[in-house]
Amino acid sequence: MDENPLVKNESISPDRKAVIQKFITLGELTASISHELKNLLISINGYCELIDQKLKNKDSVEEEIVEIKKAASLAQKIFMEILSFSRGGTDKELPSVNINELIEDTLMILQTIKKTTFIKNLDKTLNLIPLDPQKIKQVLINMIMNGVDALNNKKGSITITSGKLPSAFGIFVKIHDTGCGMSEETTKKLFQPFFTTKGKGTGLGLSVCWDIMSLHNGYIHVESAPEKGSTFSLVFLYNRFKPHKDIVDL
Amino acid sequence: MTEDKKTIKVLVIDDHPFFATNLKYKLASHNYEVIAAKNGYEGIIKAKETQPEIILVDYIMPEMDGIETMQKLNKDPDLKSSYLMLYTSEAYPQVVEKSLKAGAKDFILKTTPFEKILEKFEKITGEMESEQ
Ligand SMILES: Nc1ncnc2c1ncn2[C@@H]1O[C@H](COP(=O)(O)OP(=O)(O)OP(=O)(O)O)[C@@H](O)[C@H]1O
Ligand SMILES: [Mg+2]
Repeated sequence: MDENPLVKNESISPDRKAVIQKFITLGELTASISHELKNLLISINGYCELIDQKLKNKDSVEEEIVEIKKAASLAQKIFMEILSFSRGGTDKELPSVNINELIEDTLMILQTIKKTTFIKNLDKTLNLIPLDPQKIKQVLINMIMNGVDALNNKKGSITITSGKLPSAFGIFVKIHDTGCGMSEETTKKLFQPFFTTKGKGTGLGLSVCWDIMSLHNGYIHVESAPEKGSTFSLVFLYNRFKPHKDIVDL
Repeated sequence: MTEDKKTIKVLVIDDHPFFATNLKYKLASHNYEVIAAKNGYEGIIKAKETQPEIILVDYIMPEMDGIETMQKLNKDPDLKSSYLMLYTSEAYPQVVEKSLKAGAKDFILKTTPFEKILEKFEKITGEMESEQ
Protein backbone atom coordinates (compact mmCIF):
# COMPACT_ATOMS: atom_id res chain seq x y z
CA MET A 1 0.00 0.00 0.00
CA ASP A 2 1.36 3.40 -0.98
CA GLU A 3 1.82 5.88 1.80
CA ASN A 4 0.49 9.31 1.18
CA PRO A 5 3.06 12.15 1.52
CA LEU A 6 0.76 13.79 4.08
CA VAL A 7 1.20 10.81 6.35
CA LYS A 8 4.99 11.01 6.08
CA ASN A 9 5.02 14.73 6.94
CA GLU A 10 6.88 15.16 10.25
CA SER A 11 5.03 18.31 11.29
CA ILE A 12 1.66 16.58 11.52
CA SER A 13 0.87 15.01 14.87
CA PRO A 14 0.45 11.23 15.01
CA ASP A 15 -3.18 11.61 16.10
CA ARG A 16 -3.95 13.78 13.13
CA LYS A 17 -2.09 11.38 10.85
CA ALA A 18 -4.21 8.48 12.02
CA VAL A 19 -7.32 10.43 11.06
CA ILE A 20 -5.87 11.42 7.67
CA GLN A 21 -4.76 7.84 7.02
CA LYS A 22 -8.24 6.60 7.79
CA PHE A 23 -9.74 8.96 5.22
CA ILE A 24 -7.15 8.06 2.60
CA THR A 25 -7.76 4.37 3.17
CA LEU A 26 -11.49 4.86 3.10
CA GLY A 27 -11.15 6.92 -0.09
CA GLU A 28 -9.18 4.19 -1.84
CA LEU A 29 -11.49 1.52 -0.58
CA THR A 30 -14.55 3.53 -1.54
CA ALA A 31 -13.27 3.93 -5.09
CA SER A 32 -12.69 0.20 -5.56
CA ILE A 33 -15.87 -0.70 -3.78
CA SER A 34 -18.04 1.66 -5.77
CA HIS A 35 -16.46 0.29 -8.94
CA GLU A 36 -17.23 -3.27 -7.97
CA LEU A 37 -20.72 -2.58 -6.62
CA LYS A 38 -21.53 -0.72 -9.83
CA ASN A 39 -20.44 -3.72 -11.86
CA LEU A 40 -22.76 -5.93 -9.85
CA LEU A 41 -25.71 -3.55 -10.07
CA ILE A 42 -25.25 -3.01 -13.81
CA SER A 43 -25.15 -6.81 -14.16
CA ILE A 44 -28.33 -7.32 -12.14
CA ASN A 45 -30.15 -4.63 -14.10
CA GLY A 46 -28.84 -5.86 -17.40
CA TYR A 47 -29.82 -9.46 -16.72
CA CYS A 48 -33.35 -8.25 -15.94
CA GLU A 49 -33.50 -6.52 -19.32
CA LEU A 50 -32.17 -9.65 -21.02
CA ILE A 51 -34.82 -11.71 -19.24
CA ASP A 52 -37.48 -9.32 -20.51
CA GLN A 53 -36.34 -9.74 -24.09
CA LYS A 54 -35.82 -13.48 -23.79
CA LEU A 55 -39.28 -14.03 -22.33
CA LYS A 56 -40.77 -12.19 -25.30
CA ASN A 57 -38.95 -14.68 -27.56
CA LYS A 58 -39.99 -17.56 -25.25
CA ASP A 59 -36.30 -18.36 -24.58
CA SER A 60 -35.13 -19.98 -21.36
CA VAL A 61 -34.01 -17.55 -18.65
CA GLU A 62 -32.76 -19.94 -15.94
CA GLU A 63 -29.12 -19.00 -16.43
CA GLU A 64 -29.87 -15.30 -16.04
CA ILE A 65 -31.72 -15.91 -12.78
CA VAL A 66 -28.80 -17.91 -11.35
CA GLU A 67 -26.43 -15.06 -12.30
CA ILE A 68 -28.68 -12.43 -10.75
CA LYS A 69 -28.68 -14.37 -7.48
CA LYS A 70 -24.88 -14.66 -7.52
CA ALA A 71 -24.36 -10.96 -8.25
CA ALA A 72 -26.86 -9.87 -5.60
CA SER A 73 -25.34 -12.03 -2.87
CA LEU A 74 -21.80 -10.82 -3.67
CA ALA A 75 -23.02 -7.21 -3.57
CA GLN A 76 -24.57 -7.88 -0.17
CA LYS A 77 -21.30 -9.39 1.13
CA ILE A 78 -19.25 -6.41 -0.06
CA PHE A 79 -21.73 -4.03 1.48
CA MET A 80 -21.55 -5.78 4.86
CA GLU A 81 -17.72 -5.64 4.84
CA ILE A 82 -17.59 -1.92 4.20
CA LEU A 83 -20.30 -1.23 6.75
CA SER A 84 -18.47 -3.06 9.50
CA PHE A 85 -15.25 -1.22 8.60
CA SER A 86 -16.62 2.29 8.63
CA ARG A 87 -18.94 1.88 11.60
CA GLY A 88 -17.69 3.63 14.73
CA GLY A 89 -14.90 6.21 14.92
CA THR A 90 -11.35 5.74 16.13
CA ASP A 91 -11.27 8.98 18.08
CA LYS A 92 -13.15 7.52 20.98
CA GLU A 93 -11.12 6.32 23.94
CA LEU A 94 -10.30 2.67 23.37
CA PRO A 95 -10.92 0.24 26.22
CA SER A 96 -7.98 -1.79 27.53
CA VAL A 97 -8.53 -5.37 26.59
CA ASN A 98 -6.99 -8.76 27.21
CA ILE A 99 -6.56 -10.03 23.68
CA ASN A 100 -6.76 -13.67 24.87
CA GLU A 101 -10.39 -13.07 25.74
CA LEU A 102 -11.09 -11.87 22.19
CA ILE A 103 -9.40 -15.01 20.85
CA GLU A 104 -11.51 -17.22 23.16
CA ASP A 105 -14.72 -15.40 22.12
CA THR A 106 -13.88 -15.69 18.43
CA LEU A 107 -13.04 -19.40 18.65
CA MET A 108 -16.25 -20.06 20.55
CA ILE A 109 -18.26 -18.60 17.65
CA LEU A 110 -16.24 -20.42 15.01
CA GLN A 111 -16.02 -23.77 16.79
CA THR A 112 -19.76 -24.22 16.56
CA ILE A 113 -19.81 -23.87 12.79
CA LYS A 114 -16.60 -25.58 11.61
CA LYS A 115 -15.16 -29.05 12.06
CA THR A 116 -11.55 -27.83 12.00
CA THR A 117 -9.19 -28.59 14.91
CA PHE A 118 -8.27 -25.40 16.71
CA ILE A 119 -5.19 -25.39 18.95
CA LYS A 120 -4.78 -22.60 21.49
CA ASN A 121 -1.42 -21.55 22.79
CA LEU A 122 -2.12 -18.43 24.80
CA ASP A 123 0.31 -16.50 27.00
CA LYS A 124 -1.61 -15.89 30.22
CA THR A 125 0.70 -13.08 31.34
CA LEU A 126 -0.09 -10.65 28.52
CA ASN A 127 -0.60 -6.96 29.23
CA LEU A 128 -3.92 -5.31 28.54
CA ILE A 129 -3.83 -3.15 25.43
CA PRO A 130 -6.13 -0.41 24.15
CA LEU A 131 -8.09 -1.64 21.18
CA ASP A 132 -11.48 -1.75 19.54
CA PRO A 133 -12.75 -5.23 20.49
CA GLN A 134 -15.34 -5.48 17.68
CA LYS A 135 -12.83 -4.56 14.98
CA ILE A 136 -10.09 -6.83 16.32
CA LYS A 137 -12.61 -9.69 16.52
CA GLN A 138 -13.40 -9.01 12.88
CA VAL A 139 -9.68 -9.28 12.07
CA LEU A 140 -9.42 -12.58 13.97
CA ILE A 141 -12.51 -13.98 12.24
CA ASN A 142 -11.24 -13.00 8.77
CA MET A 143 -7.82 -14.50 9.45
CA ILE A 144 -9.14 -17.74 10.94
CA MET A 145 -11.73 -18.16 8.17
CA ASN A 146 -8.95 -17.73 5.60
CA GLY A 147 -7.10 -20.54 7.41
CA VAL A 148 -10.22 -22.69 7.33
CA ASP A 149 -10.58 -22.03 3.60
CA ALA A 150 -6.90 -22.88 3.08
CA LEU A 151 -7.49 -26.32 4.64
CA ASN A 152 -9.99 -26.87 1.84
CA ASN A 153 -12.00 -29.53 3.72
CA LYS A 154 -8.86 -31.61 4.21
CA LYS A 155 -7.56 -32.69 7.61
CA GLY A 156 -5.51 -30.03 9.30
CA SER A 157 -5.34 -27.62 12.14
CA ILE A 158 -5.26 -23.97 12.98
CA THR A 159 -3.02 -22.90 15.83
CA ILE A 160 -3.50 -19.58 17.55
CA THR A 161 -0.62 -18.37 19.64
CA SER A 162 -0.43 -15.18 21.65
CA GLY A 163 2.70 -13.83 23.27
CA LYS A 164 4.97 -10.91 24.09
CA LEU A 165 7.38 -9.53 21.55
CA PRO A 166 11.08 -9.78 22.46
CA SER A 167 12.29 -6.83 24.59
CA ALA A 168 8.70 -6.11 25.58
CA PHE A 169 7.95 -3.95 22.53
CA GLY A 170 4.41 -5.19 22.34
CA ILE A 171 2.37 -8.32 21.84
CA PHE A 172 1.59 -10.62 18.95
CA VAL A 173 -1.10 -13.06 17.89
CA LYS A 174 -0.04 -15.75 15.41
CA ILE A 175 -2.56 -17.63 13.32
CA HIS A 176 -0.98 -20.67 11.74
CA ASP A 177 -2.75 -23.06 9.39
CA THR A 178 -1.52 -26.27 7.84
CA GLY A 179 -3.41 -25.51 4.63
CA CYS A 180 -2.45 -24.94 0.99
CA GLY A 181 -0.02 -22.08 1.58
CA MET A 182 0.71 -19.40 -0.99
CA SER A 183 3.04 -18.64 -3.86
CA GLU A 184 5.26 -15.56 -3.67
CA GLU A 185 3.04 -13.93 -6.33
CA THR A 186 -0.01 -14.30 -4.11
CA THR A 187 1.83 -13.09 -0.98
CA LYS A 188 2.62 -9.82 -2.76
CA LYS A 189 -1.01 -9.12 -3.62
CA LEU A 190 -2.69 -10.33 -0.43
CA PHE A 191 -3.64 -6.98 0.99
CA GLN A 192 -4.94 -5.36 -2.21
CA PRO A 193 -8.67 -4.71 -2.06
CA PHE A 194 -10.52 -7.30 -4.17
CA PHE A 195 -7.55 -9.60 -4.59
CA THR A 196 -8.96 -13.11 -4.24
CA THR A 197 -8.26 -16.59 -5.55
CA LYS A 198 -11.59 -17.90 -4.31
CA GLY A 199 -14.69 -18.30 -6.42
CA LYS A 200 -17.03 -16.63 -4.00
CA GLY A 201 -14.61 -14.43 -2.02
CA THR A 202 -14.84 -10.65 -2.00
CA GLY A 203 -11.08 -10.23 -1.64
CA LEU A 204 -11.78 -7.51 0.91
CA GLY A 205 -11.04 -9.60 4.02
CA LEU A 206 -7.31 -8.95 4.34
CA SER A 207 -7.40 -5.38 3.04
CA VAL A 208 -9.91 -4.54 5.77
CA CYS A 209 -7.73 -6.41 8.34
CA TRP A 210 -4.72 -4.38 7.25
CA ASP A 211 -6.64 -1.12 7.62
CA ILE A 212 -7.94 -2.08 11.05
CA MET A 213 -4.43 -3.01 12.23
CA SER A 214 -3.06 0.30 10.86
CA LEU A 215 -5.71 2.18 12.80
CA HIS A 216 -4.37 0.41 15.90
CA ASN A 217 -0.77 1.32 14.99
CA GLY A 218 -0.13 -2.32 14.38
CA TYR A 219 0.73 -4.39 11.36
CA ILE A 220 0.48 -7.87 9.89
CA HIS A 221 3.39 -10.13 9.10
CA VAL A 222 2.99 -13.06 6.69
CA GLU A 223 5.04 -16.22 6.26
CA SER A 224 3.96 -18.82 3.75
CA ALA A 225 5.03 -21.18 0.99
CA PRO A 226 3.01 -23.42 -1.34
CA GLU A 227 1.93 -26.64 0.44
CA LYS A 228 3.68 -25.47 3.61
CA GLY A 229 0.76 -23.71 5.30
CA SER A 230 0.70 -20.05 6.31
CA THR A 231 1.35 -17.99 9.40
CA PHE A 232 -0.23 -14.56 9.81
CA SER A 233 1.07 -12.54 12.77
CA LEU A 234 -0.84 -9.58 14.14
CA VAL A 235 1.65 -7.27 15.82
CA PHE A 236 0.61 -4.61 18.34
CA LEU A 237 3.39 -2.24 19.43
CA TYR A 238 3.21 -0.44 22.78
CA ASN A 239 5.49 2.48 21.98
CA ARG A 240 3.65 3.46 18.83
CA PHE A 241 0.40 3.71 20.73
CA LYS A 242 -0.69 7.04 22.07
CA PRO A 243 0.65 7.02 25.63
CA HIS A 244 -2.14 5.28 27.41
CA LYS A 245 -2.53 5.10 31.16
CA ASP A 246 -4.23 1.72 30.98
CA ILE A 247 -1.24 -0.24 29.69
CA VAL A 248 -0.51 -2.10 32.89
CA ASP A 249 1.11 -5.34 33.93
CA LEU A 250 -1.35 -8.07 34.79
CA MET B 1 -25.22 -7.01 -46.95
CA THR B 2 -23.75 -7.40 -50.36
CA GLU B 3 -20.19 -8.53 -49.76
CA ASP B 4 -18.87 -11.24 -47.49
CA LYS B 5 -17.77 -9.04 -44.63
CA LYS B 6 -15.11 -10.44 -42.33
CA THR B 7 -16.41 -11.33 -38.86
CA ILE B 8 -14.94 -9.02 -36.22
CA LYS B 9 -13.81 -10.78 -33.05
CA VAL B 10 -14.26 -9.06 -29.70
CA LEU B 11 -12.65 -10.61 -26.63
CA VAL B 12 -14.24 -9.56 -23.32
CA ILE B 13 -12.06 -10.24 -20.24
CA ASP B 14 -14.27 -9.79 -17.19
CA ASP B 15 -15.04 -11.84 -14.11
CA HIS B 16 -18.65 -10.64 -14.20
CA PRO B 17 -20.15 -12.85 -16.90
CA PHE B 18 -22.92 -10.39 -17.69
CA PHE B 19 -20.83 -8.07 -19.85
CA ALA B 20 -19.74 -10.69 -22.36
CA THR B 21 -23.19 -12.33 -22.37
CA ASN B 22 -24.85 -9.00 -23.03
CA LEU B 23 -22.52 -8.00 -25.87
CA LYS B 24 -22.83 -11.48 -27.35
CA TYR B 25 -26.61 -11.17 -27.34
CA LYS B 26 -26.71 -7.65 -28.73
CA LEU B 27 -23.97 -8.12 -31.32
CA ALA B 28 -25.48 -11.38 -32.59
CA SER B 29 -27.38 -9.61 -35.36
CA HIS B 30 -24.28 -7.69 -36.42
CA ASN B 31 -21.12 -9.05 -37.93
CA TYR B 32 -19.34 -9.73 -34.62
CA GLU B 33 -18.21 -12.74 -32.65
CA VAL B 34 -17.89 -12.25 -28.89
CA ILE B 35 -15.41 -14.37 -26.94
CA ALA B 36 -15.57 -14.41 -23.14
CA ALA B 37 -12.72 -14.89 -20.66
CA LYS B 38 -13.35 -14.72 -16.94
CA ASN B 39 -9.87 -13.69 -15.80
CA GLY B 40 -6.58 -12.33 -17.07
CA TYR B 41 -4.86 -15.70 -17.50
CA GLU B 42 -7.74 -17.12 -19.55
CA GLY B 43 -7.90 -13.81 -21.45
CA ILE B 44 -4.26 -13.97 -22.56
CA ILE B 45 -4.62 -17.59 -23.74
CA LYS B 46 -7.83 -16.84 -25.65
CA ALA B 47 -6.34 -13.70 -27.18
CA LYS B 48 -3.43 -15.69 -28.61
CA GLU B 49 -5.79 -18.41 -29.82
CA THR B 50 -8.35 -16.21 -31.53
CA GLN B 51 -6.42 -13.02 -32.47
CA PRO B 52 -9.35 -10.69 -31.77
CA GLU B 53 -9.56 -7.26 -33.41
CA ILE B 54 -10.83 -5.72 -30.17
CA ILE B 55 -10.06 -6.64 -26.56
CA LEU B 56 -12.08 -5.22 -23.65
CA VAL B 57 -10.59 -5.61 -20.18
CA ASP B 58 -12.35 -5.07 -16.85
CA TYR B 59 -10.47 -3.19 -14.10
CA ILE B 60 -10.98 -5.28 -10.96
CA MET B 61 -10.62 -9.02 -11.42
CA PRO B 62 -9.51 -11.86 -9.16
CA GLU B 63 -5.83 -12.84 -9.16
CA MET B 64 -4.65 -10.52 -11.92
CA ASP B 65 -6.24 -7.08 -12.23
CA GLY B 66 -7.07 -5.32 -15.50
CA ILE B 67 -3.95 -3.17 -15.49
CA GLU B 68 -1.61 -6.14 -15.17
CA THR B 69 -3.61 -8.06 -17.78
CA MET B 70 -3.33 -5.18 -20.26
CA GLN B 71 0.40 -4.84 -19.61
CA LYS B 72 0.86 -8.50 -20.46
CA LEU B 73 -1.38 -8.31 -23.56
CA ASN B 74 0.37 -5.17 -24.73
CA LYS B 75 3.83 -6.69 -24.38
CA ASP B 76 2.86 -9.80 -26.33
CA PRO B 77 4.37 -9.66 -29.85
CA ASP B 78 1.58 -11.94 -31.16
CA LEU B 79 -1.08 -9.42 -30.25
CA LYS B 80 0.23 -6.23 -31.80
CA SER B 81 -2.83 -5.73 -34.00
CA SER B 82 -5.47 -6.04 -31.28
CA TYR B 83 -7.14 -2.81 -30.16
CA LEU B 84 -6.96 -2.82 -26.35
CA MET B 85 -9.57 -1.00 -24.26
CA LEU B 86 -10.39 -0.69 -20.59
CA TYR B 87 -14.01 -1.71 -19.98
CA THR B 88 -14.99 -0.10 -16.72
CA SER B 89 -17.97 0.83 -14.58
CA GLU B 90 -16.35 4.09 -13.50
CA ALA B 91 -13.71 6.19 -15.22
CA TYR B 92 -11.63 7.39 -12.30
CA PRO B 93 -8.88 9.58 -13.81
CA GLN B 94 -6.18 7.59 -12.00
CA VAL B 95 -7.51 4.32 -13.33
CA VAL B 96 -7.81 5.61 -16.88
CA GLU B 97 -4.27 7.01 -16.70
CA LYS B 98 -2.89 3.73 -15.38
CA SER B 99 -4.62 1.77 -18.11
CA LEU B 100 -3.35 4.06 -20.87
CA LYS B 101 0.15 3.53 -19.49
CA ALA B 102 -0.48 -0.21 -19.51
CA GLY B 103 -1.22 -0.09 -23.24
CA ALA B 104 -4.94 0.62 -23.53
CA LYS B 105 -5.85 2.85 -26.48
CA ASP B 106 -9.17 3.97 -25.05
CA PHE B 107 -11.80 3.08 -22.48
CA ILE B 108 -15.51 2.27 -22.64
CA LEU B 109 -17.88 2.84 -19.76
CA LYS B 110 -20.09 -0.09 -18.95
CA THR B 111 -23.06 2.22 -18.74
CA THR B 112 -22.60 3.36 -22.36
CA PRO B 113 -25.69 2.56 -24.48
CA PHE B 114 -25.16 -0.31 -26.87
CA GLU B 115 -25.60 1.84 -30.01
CA LYS B 116 -22.68 4.04 -28.96
CA ILE B 117 -20.49 1.02 -28.30
CA LEU B 118 -21.32 -0.38 -31.72
CA GLU B 119 -20.50 2.99 -33.28
CA LYS B 120 -17.11 2.92 -31.59
CA PHE B 121 -16.40 -0.62 -32.75
CA GLU B 122 -17.31 0.28 -36.35
CA LYS B 123 -15.01 3.28 -36.24
CA ILE B 124 -12.11 1.24 -34.86
CA THR B 125 -12.48 -1.58 -37.35
CA GLY B 126 -13.00 0.91 -40.20
CA GLU B 127 -9.69 2.52 -39.33
CA MET B 128 -8.02 -0.88 -39.07
CA GLU B 129 -9.17 -1.77 -42.60
CA SER B 130 -8.03 1.50 -44.11
CA GLU B 131 -4.62 1.04 -42.49
CA GLN B 132 -4.12 -2.26 -44.27
N1 LIG C 1 -4.32 -18.64 5.24
C1 LIG C 1 -4.23 -18.55 3.90
N2 LIG C 1 -3.72 -19.56 3.18
C2 LIG C 1 -3.63 -19.48 1.83
N3 LIG C 1 -4.03 -18.40 1.10
C3 LIG C 1 -4.54 -17.36 1.77
C4 LIG C 1 -4.68 -17.36 3.20
N4 LIG C 1 -5.21 -16.19 3.58
C5 LIG C 1 -5.42 -15.47 2.44
N5 LIG C 1 -5.03 -16.17 1.36
C6 LIG C 1 -5.07 -15.72 -0.04
O1 LIG C 1 -5.32 -14.33 -0.06
C7 LIG C 1 -6.50 -14.01 -0.82
C8 LIG C 1 -7.14 -12.78 -0.26
O2 LIG C 1 -7.70 -13.03 1.04
P1 LIG C 1 -8.88 -12.11 1.57
O3 LIG C 1 -9.23 -12.56 2.94
O4 LIG C 1 -8.50 -10.69 1.39
O5 LIG C 1 -10.07 -12.41 0.56
P2 LIG C 1 -10.88 -13.78 0.33
O6 LIG C 1 -10.69 -14.66 1.52
O7 LIG C 1 -10.51 -14.31 -1.00
O8 LIG C 1 -12.38 -13.26 0.28
P3 LIG C 1 -13.37 -13.12 1.54
O9 LIG C 1 -12.52 -12.62 2.67
O10 LIG C 1 -14.43 -12.20 1.10
O11 LIG C 1 -13.90 -14.49 1.80
C9 LIG C 1 -7.31 -15.29 -0.77
O12 LIG C 1 -8.19 -15.40 -1.85
C10 LIG C 1 -6.21 -16.36 -0.80
O13 LIG C 1 -5.74 -16.57 -2.11
MG1 LIG D 1 -10.90 -13.86 3.53
